[in-house]
Amino acid sequence: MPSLRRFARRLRVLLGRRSFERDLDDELRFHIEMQAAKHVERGMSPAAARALAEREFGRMPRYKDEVRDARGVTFADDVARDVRFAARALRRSAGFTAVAVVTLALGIGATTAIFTVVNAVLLRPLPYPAPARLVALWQASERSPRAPVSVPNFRDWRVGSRSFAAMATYRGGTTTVLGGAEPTRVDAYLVSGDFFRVFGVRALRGRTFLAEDARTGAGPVAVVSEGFWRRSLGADPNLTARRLQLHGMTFTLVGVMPSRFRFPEGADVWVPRELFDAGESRTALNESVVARLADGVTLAQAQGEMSAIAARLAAEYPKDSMAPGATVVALHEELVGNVRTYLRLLLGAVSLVLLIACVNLASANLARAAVRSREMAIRTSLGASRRRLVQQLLTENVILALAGGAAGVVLAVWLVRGVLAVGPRSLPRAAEVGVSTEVLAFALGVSLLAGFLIGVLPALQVSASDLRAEMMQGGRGTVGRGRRGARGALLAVEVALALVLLVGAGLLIRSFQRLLSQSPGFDASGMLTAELSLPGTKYGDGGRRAAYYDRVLPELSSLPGVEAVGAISSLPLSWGPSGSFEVAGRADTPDANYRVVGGDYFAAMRIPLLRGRLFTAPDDSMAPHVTVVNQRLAAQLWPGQDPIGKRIRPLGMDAHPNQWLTVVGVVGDVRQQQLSRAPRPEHYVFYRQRPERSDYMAVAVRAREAPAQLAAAVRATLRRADPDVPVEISTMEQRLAESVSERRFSMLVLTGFGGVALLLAAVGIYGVLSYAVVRRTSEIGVRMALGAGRGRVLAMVLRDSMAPVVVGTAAGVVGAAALTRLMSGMLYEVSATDPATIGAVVALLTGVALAPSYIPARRAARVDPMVALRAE
Amino acid sequence: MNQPTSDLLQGTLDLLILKTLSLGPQHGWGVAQRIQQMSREVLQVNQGSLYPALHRLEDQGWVEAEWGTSDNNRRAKFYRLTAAGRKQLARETQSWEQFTRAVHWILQTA
Repeated sequence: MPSLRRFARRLRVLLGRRSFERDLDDELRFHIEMQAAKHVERGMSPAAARALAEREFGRMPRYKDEVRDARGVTFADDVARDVRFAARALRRSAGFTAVAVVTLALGIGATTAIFTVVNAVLLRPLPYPAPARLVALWQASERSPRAPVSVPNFRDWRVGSRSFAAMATYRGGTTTVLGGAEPTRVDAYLVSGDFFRVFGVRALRGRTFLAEDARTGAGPVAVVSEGFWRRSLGADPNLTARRLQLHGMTFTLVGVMPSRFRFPEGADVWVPRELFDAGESRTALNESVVARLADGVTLAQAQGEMSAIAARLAAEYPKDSMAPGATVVALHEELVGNVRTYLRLLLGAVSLVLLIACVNLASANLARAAVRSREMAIRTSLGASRRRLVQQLLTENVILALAGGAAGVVLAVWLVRGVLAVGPRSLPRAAEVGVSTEVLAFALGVSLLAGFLIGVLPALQVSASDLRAEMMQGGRGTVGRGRRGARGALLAVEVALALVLLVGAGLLIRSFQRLLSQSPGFDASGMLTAELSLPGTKYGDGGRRAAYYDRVLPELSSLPGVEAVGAISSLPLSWGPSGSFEVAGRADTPDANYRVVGGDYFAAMRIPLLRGRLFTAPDDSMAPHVTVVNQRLAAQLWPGQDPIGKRIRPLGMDAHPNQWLTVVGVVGDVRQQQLSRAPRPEHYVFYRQRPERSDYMAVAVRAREAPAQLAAAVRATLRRADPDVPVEISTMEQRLAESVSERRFSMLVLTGFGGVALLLAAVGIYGVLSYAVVRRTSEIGVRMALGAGRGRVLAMVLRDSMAPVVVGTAAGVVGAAALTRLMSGMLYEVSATDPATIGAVVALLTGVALAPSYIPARRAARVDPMVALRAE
Repeated sequence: MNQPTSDLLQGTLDLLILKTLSLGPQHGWGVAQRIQQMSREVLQVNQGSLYPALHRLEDQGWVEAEWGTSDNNRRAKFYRLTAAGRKQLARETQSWEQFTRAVHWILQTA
C-alpha cells in the first residue's frame, strides 16, 4: 500500500533525525558550492561568487523549513511540542488531571469490559469452518415455533431435503459416567452419525464417528472433550484402551475433540444415538437438529424447502402431527438470540455512564478554560495561530483520554473476570470471552472519542472568542454569556442522561420485585436438595431403581432434624420432559409435563393438595396405575368437572404405553421452568409404578432448622446406600436465586450504573453552581449593595442552577419514555413507561440536585457586599 | 523573457523535475542546470525552491535518492525516478497537455 510505505519513509526520517538534518545541510551547501564554482568559472572572485550564489539560492532557513514540511517532520515536531506542553499544563492542574484520568479509567474500563463480552458472544462468528452455513432445525407449531424433532421426522427430512450438506441430531443431559478417575456427572450427548461432519472440526486425537459406528448393533464407541480427557482420563494417549460406562452400556474411547469445539456447550462425551433404541414414534419430540447448508443455498431457500417437506409429512401422517411446521434458524442466532437484548442493554447503559462522565469532565474543562483565557490571549498576541492553540488543547485532552484509556483497559481485564464469575451462569459462549485486538481497537477508539468530547468545547471557545477583550479584562471579568450557557447546557444533558439510566434501573428493580413476590407454588425455604443419577449399568432395571428409592427415602426421613422427604424426576425451576397423552373419551392428544415422584414430595415442598389424594403405599406395581395432576391440567381438560376418576395415557414417555392412569388427586401449580412463565399442565406418576424415568431424581428434604446442617448427614446416608451414585447437594433457595440470576445481574449492574450517574450529576451540579457563585461574587455584591435582600440573592442563584436541572429532567423523561421501550422484553408485569417509576426517579433526582446546590447558595447569601466590591 | 520558476505553479515544477530525472539520475543542482538548458534558458530555476519539491517527490515515492560522488569528487545526493514516478510523469504530462490545449482554444476564440 503506497501510504503505508510513505508512512514508513517518514518514520525513518524521524528516527534518524540528526543525520537527516546533516544530510539536508550538506545537500544545500553542495548546491551553493556548485553554483559558486560556476560563477568562478566565468571569472568572478571566489568570495563574490559565493555571495552571489547564496543570494540566488534564497533564504536557506525558509527552504529548509519547507523541506521539513514536505517530509512530515514539522508535523511531528508540532505534535511533540504539543505533547510536552500538554503534559506541563496537566501537571499544573494536577487535581483536575487526577480526577479526569480516574473517571475516564472507570468509564472506559467498564465500557470496554462489556464490549469484550459483547464482542465474543454477539459479534464474533462461531469458531467452526464457514460458521455462517450452520443452522439449527426445529419442528414448529403455533404454540412453540422451536420444538424438538422426532427421529422418524428427522430421517424423512434428511432424505427428502437437498438444501443441506449434512444434518444431525443431538440430545442429552447430565449423567453419570464411570471409567474415569472416579464416577462423575458430565454432560453426555447422543448424536447421530453425521454430527461431527456438520461442524467440520477434526479430532484432536483419534477420530470421530465413522459410518459403521452409527448403526444399530455396532461396537459402542465414544468421543470425549479435551477437558474431560485431561481432567478425568489423565490425558492418556492410549485412547482405545479406555472404556467408559454410561446409559447402561460400555463404550470404547476413539477420539478427543479439541477444546475449541464446544457443541453443545459444556458437552464432555458424545456417543452415537443409533446404538440406542430410537423408538419410531413421530410424536416423541426429543431431538435437537443441527445442519450445514449446502453450497449456494441461502437460509431463506432452506426454510422454504423445509416448510414444504414438513407440510407434506403433516398431510401424510395427520394423527402424528403435533408440530407440523419446520423452522430453520442460523446457529449463531439460536445460541445467542436470547441474550442479545440484555447484552445490548448493558452496553447501552455503560455507554451512557461514560457519556455522562465525559460531559462532566467537559464542563470542568470549560471552567479551567475560563481561568486560562488570559494565558491563551497572551499567546495569541505573541503569534500563536488559533489553529495551533486548538490543536494543543485537543492534544491535552487526547493525552488525558489515552492515559485514562490505558488504565481502563487494565481495569477491563479485571472487570471481565469479575463479570464472568459473578454474572449469570448461563451466558452462551462464555468460554470464548477474552481481550482481543477488536477490544483494544475499541478501547482506543472510545478513548479518542472521549478525549475529543471533553476538549471540543473549550477548543471551540478559544477559536471563537475575542481574546483581546479577555486579556484586557484581566481574565477575571464577568462570566461571558456564552460560557455560562454552555455549562448549563452540559448540565442539562448530564441530568437527562442520568435520568434515563435511573428510570431503566428503576424499571428493572420493580420487575425483579414483582417476580420474586410471585408465589412459585411451593415453599423454597428450609429445603435441601440432593440430585442423584443412578448409573445405567447397575440400575438398568426399573425394579432395581424402585428398590433403591424404597431403601433410601425412609432412611433419609429418619435422620434427626428432617421434617419430610420426597423425590421428583425434575425439580421446579428446571427443565423436565413433557409429552403428549391420550385422554379417555376424547380424540385429541394434549401435551403436559411428565414427572415421577416418590416419598412425601408434595408435603415436603408444601404444594397443596386440592382434591382427592396423593400416592400411598398400596400404589405399587401390582395395583392399578394412578396419577396426580396439577390444577392447570385439570382446568384445561375437564373445566367445571371433577377430574378424579378420569383416565389418561401418556404416549412414548415410559414402558407402559397401553396402561391407563387414573387421576386420583389434584395439586396446586408450581412454576416449572422459569418464575416468569405461567405454570404448564403437569401430571405426576409414582416411582413404584413407573420407574422408567427415575434414573435421575432429585431428593427434596425439608429441614426443621437450617438445611445446610443436614447436608453432611444426607450425603453420608446416600453414600452408605451406594457409593457409586454421585450426589449433588444444594438448597431450594439457592436454586431459586440461580433461576433469576440473569435478572438480578442486570438489575444490579444497571442500579450500580444509575448510582454512578447520580453521583456524577450531583458533582456536576455542585461544580457548576459553586463556580458560578465565585464568578458572580462581585455581581452579587453590587446587587446587595443596591438593596437586594439575601432571600432574593438566594433565589436568583438557585434559579440559575436549577434551570438546567429542570430542562434536563424534562428532556430525560421524554428520552426515557422513548428508550425504555427497547427493554420491554426484559420487564415482568411492569410497563416500560411505568409512571410510578418515572415519578420516583424524578423526585430522587430533584432531591439529589437540591443538596449540592445548598452550600454554594448559602455562600452566595453570606456574601458581604463591601468585601465583594473591594475584591474587584 | 526569462521566467523565474517561482512564478510556476508547484505542480508544474514537479512535472519538470520528473521529466528531467527521466533522462537519468541527477543531483539537485544538476536538475536546475538541466531545466535551464532544456528550456533554452527561458526558465531560470529559483534555486532554493527546488529542494522542497525534490523532497516532496521523494516523500511521495516518485523519486528515490542515494548519496554518491559528483563529477568533481564531492559528496552529493543523487535523485532517480522510480517506476511509480514514471507512471506519475506520464499522468502529469497528459493532464498538462490537456490543460494547455484547453487554454489555447480559449485564447484562440477572441
